[in-house]
Amino acid sequence: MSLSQIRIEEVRAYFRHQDYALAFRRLLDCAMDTQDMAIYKLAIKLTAEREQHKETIDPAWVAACLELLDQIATIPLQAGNTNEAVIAGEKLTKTYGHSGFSLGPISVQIRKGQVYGLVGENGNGKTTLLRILARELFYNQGKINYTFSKAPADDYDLRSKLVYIPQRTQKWYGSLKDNLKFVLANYGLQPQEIETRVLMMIARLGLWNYKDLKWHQLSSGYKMRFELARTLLRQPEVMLLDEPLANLDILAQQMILEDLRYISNSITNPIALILSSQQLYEVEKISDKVIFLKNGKYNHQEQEQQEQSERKLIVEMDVSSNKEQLQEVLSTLALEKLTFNGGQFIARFSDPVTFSQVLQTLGHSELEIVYIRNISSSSRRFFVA
Amino acid sequence: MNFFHRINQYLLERYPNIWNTRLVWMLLIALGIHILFFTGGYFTFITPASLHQQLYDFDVLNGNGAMLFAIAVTIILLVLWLVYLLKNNAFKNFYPTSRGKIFLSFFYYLVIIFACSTFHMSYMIGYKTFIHQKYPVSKFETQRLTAARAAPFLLLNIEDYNLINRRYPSPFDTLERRNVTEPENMLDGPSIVAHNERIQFFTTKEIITTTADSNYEQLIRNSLNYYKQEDAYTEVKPALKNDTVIITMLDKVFDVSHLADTAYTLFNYSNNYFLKDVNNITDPSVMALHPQLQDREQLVLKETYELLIRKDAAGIKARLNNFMKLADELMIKSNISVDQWFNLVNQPGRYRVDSVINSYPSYNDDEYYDSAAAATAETVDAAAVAADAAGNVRVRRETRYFIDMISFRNVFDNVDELRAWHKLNDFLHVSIWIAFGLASILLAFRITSLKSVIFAAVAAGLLGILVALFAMVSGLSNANIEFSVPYFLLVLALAIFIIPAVSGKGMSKRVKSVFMNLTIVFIVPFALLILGIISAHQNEYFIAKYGVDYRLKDHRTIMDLLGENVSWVLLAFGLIFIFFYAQRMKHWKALAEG
Repeated sequence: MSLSQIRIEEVRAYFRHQDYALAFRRLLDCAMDTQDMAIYKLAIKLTAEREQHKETIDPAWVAACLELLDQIATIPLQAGNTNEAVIAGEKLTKTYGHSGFSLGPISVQIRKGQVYGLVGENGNGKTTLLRILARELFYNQGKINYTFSKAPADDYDLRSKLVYIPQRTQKWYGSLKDNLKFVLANYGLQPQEIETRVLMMIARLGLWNYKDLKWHQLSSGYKMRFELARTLLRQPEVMLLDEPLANLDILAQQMILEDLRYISNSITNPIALILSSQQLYEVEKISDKVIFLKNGKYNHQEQEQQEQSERKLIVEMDVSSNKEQLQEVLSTLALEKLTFNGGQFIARFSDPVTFSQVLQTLGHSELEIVYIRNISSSSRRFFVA
Repeated sequence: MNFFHRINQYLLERYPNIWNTRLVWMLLIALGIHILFFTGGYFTFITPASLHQQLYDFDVLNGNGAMLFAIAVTIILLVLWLVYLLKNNAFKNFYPTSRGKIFLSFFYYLVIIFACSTFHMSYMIGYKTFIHQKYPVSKFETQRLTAARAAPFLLLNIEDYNLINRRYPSPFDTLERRNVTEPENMLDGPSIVAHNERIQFFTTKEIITTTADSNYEQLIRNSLNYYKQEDAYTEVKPALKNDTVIITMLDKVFDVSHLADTAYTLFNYSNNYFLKDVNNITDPSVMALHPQLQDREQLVLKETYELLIRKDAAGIKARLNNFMKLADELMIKSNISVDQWFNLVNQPGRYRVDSVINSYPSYNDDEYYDSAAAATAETVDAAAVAADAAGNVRVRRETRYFIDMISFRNVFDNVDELRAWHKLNDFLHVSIWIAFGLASILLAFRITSLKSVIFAAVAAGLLGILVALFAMVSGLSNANIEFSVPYFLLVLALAIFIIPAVSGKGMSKRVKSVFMNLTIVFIVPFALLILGIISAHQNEYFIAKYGVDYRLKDHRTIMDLLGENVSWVLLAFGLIFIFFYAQRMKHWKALAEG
């Protein structure tokens, strides 16, 4: 079974389980992969129908969706190349003369179809690294190789392929739809395709009901979604997003991250996606790889070795007791260290203690657990350590 | 609204650059405003009374405040346009672009700014079109002749009928004349006394000599301009070579007393005012027309002379009639009928002038109109009677008649002035270069940023101060400023153009943007500077080899050769440069910072 067939079956399953919202989003992903305008138009029609009758699910609409899925299944897809690294940075260093901050040396390989989470505390060089990779900033030493499906004609062409979205995006003026159309028109797309492609992207990113609003009428989350729509219309091979989750509520964060993961995993147009964020848990959830920067340094081999060697259990928790009480409860397990950082307790266990054992022990105690999380393989352990 | 939306969407999907620059809408709006201004201009002089006041240069250019209004409309339109233009910037978002697209953006800016800043030209074209239609050359020439043929009978200024004005028949047509009141200023030769002054008719000759001539000073003292004066200064006409001069000398004084009438008479009148086009008088390049004017004058004088000799009362009356019809057509005020006028001028015999008609109405018009019926000769000018007594002429009378000849003449002068196209041409070039300058600044802003443009402006100011200091130091050190300052500017300009190209990573992107903006804005002045330097060298070479009047010997500097076309040449150069430099702009944009 090919990858596209697997995805189509997944969508069918979502429909069967009546997860219509998720099913429809995934259906749109599959439709987008076809790059077929007839399919796009049908998908747009279904989106419009759904937005008109949002409260109820019409069986006829579901049937039409499944029919569209059948049509999509008949279209052969050519999978994009995900083997080669789009960006291969080697021993990159950047030193700021005035502040003395130094980034690197850092070596990274960014591949299409993968999501890279760039995490680290403020001032550790996340934005600097993103800007270096996007050729926005000079680096002092090292080397970057860019490999795109079509070699860029000149430096400007290369920059136009390196889509970088800064943390503070600029205000849009005029009609949102016109802004999106302007992108495709500049890319020289067929005029008759432009409207369809724009509406398809609007549909996919859940912007259908917002497409006729003005920029100032949008919330931060929708502004970011429109920014993503504008970027994705460019059909980038690599996207570098600086703090795309900043100022978004938790629901909006999850929605955007989920969309990014699916879109970057497109079969025909896989995207290499790097995003920096402070939202460790959310980013880790969707990332294929996490790049943790500390004091401007990142050594992925060291980090991986550390991950392999330190498979000890680390638990972060918030309980309604003091340190002594908690220490006493956990002392039955091989507790190596218990620290309190002012908000949460961090418990490290020396022997192969499992998370379920910890839960069991705490469950049997009288302590009230407010929050608990296993951060043994999360980069959060580096932050709280 | 739907129609506008459809057009907008069509442009957006097919021609994003045109959509983004709002080219179509701006040109359509500009076209509408141009039509309004043209119409305004067309109707400005719809009534001849609007031509009665003399229109000086500024009035012609300003057109009853039309220019200020046009400037206000231009500013509003361009500001609104900028608001829309600045909404999207494909280049700053790294959307794919090409050298051609960047150039076209610049070209669209240029076209839009030009179209929106030349409304006053449409106003000018409007009134010129009207003038050409209302006063076509053939009709206007006929009107000139009508006025010129009636001019001897207008009796406006008694001195117009003095002997000194006589230019017909021969030999008066070729002789030069001067009147003197002091005997010591007389030329050696006969003179005729008329009205307390002596009039002499004479011919002249030209002597070519050099300043090195031993008789030079004496020749100057004997020349016509400094006749027998001790404090003579070096002459006169253009030199053929550095040290060669042409001196105009008196040739012969003639005795024409047997042909002359010393009284004020119609035979003596020879004013050619209405035969001249004011533009041709003021433009020295059309000196060649003067013999033509002389021929026309002789023709009219001959007709008048023969009319008077024949004592052709009907002919005279016909001239007066034609004039009054023309005056009515031009809405010229008067309080004299053709018959009353005819009675004043028809003095068969010597056709002496003994009555004067006023050339303007009284400030108190009512007085004139009330007494118009009885406005026959009433006032006797005692002084004039005494003055003419010596010439044994009849009593000359002031009348209360008037023909508003000031307005009449203004109509002719104004039509000539308005018909002239050279101001429109100047305006065209100025407008093009204003548009080019603004489009360059706008391009610089769109490619780089406001900060870079401001830095470039500051840098330009500092360079200006530097050049001024250099010029001051050069002046103090007696250096040849004609060359030293242009060459200093040339070196500065070359440095601005070349340094960013060879600096590599050694110069920040921001600093490079300042250099680039200076290049975009100052490339055309730089080209003009090079032409100026070449021209200055040619000028120096030609003077050394052929003398200061080398142009008379068909030697031309490059600026002489290009003439007004230098503007077009520079425009073409500027456009071609922007086209090629667009690649450099792309290259700069792709640079990393830091």
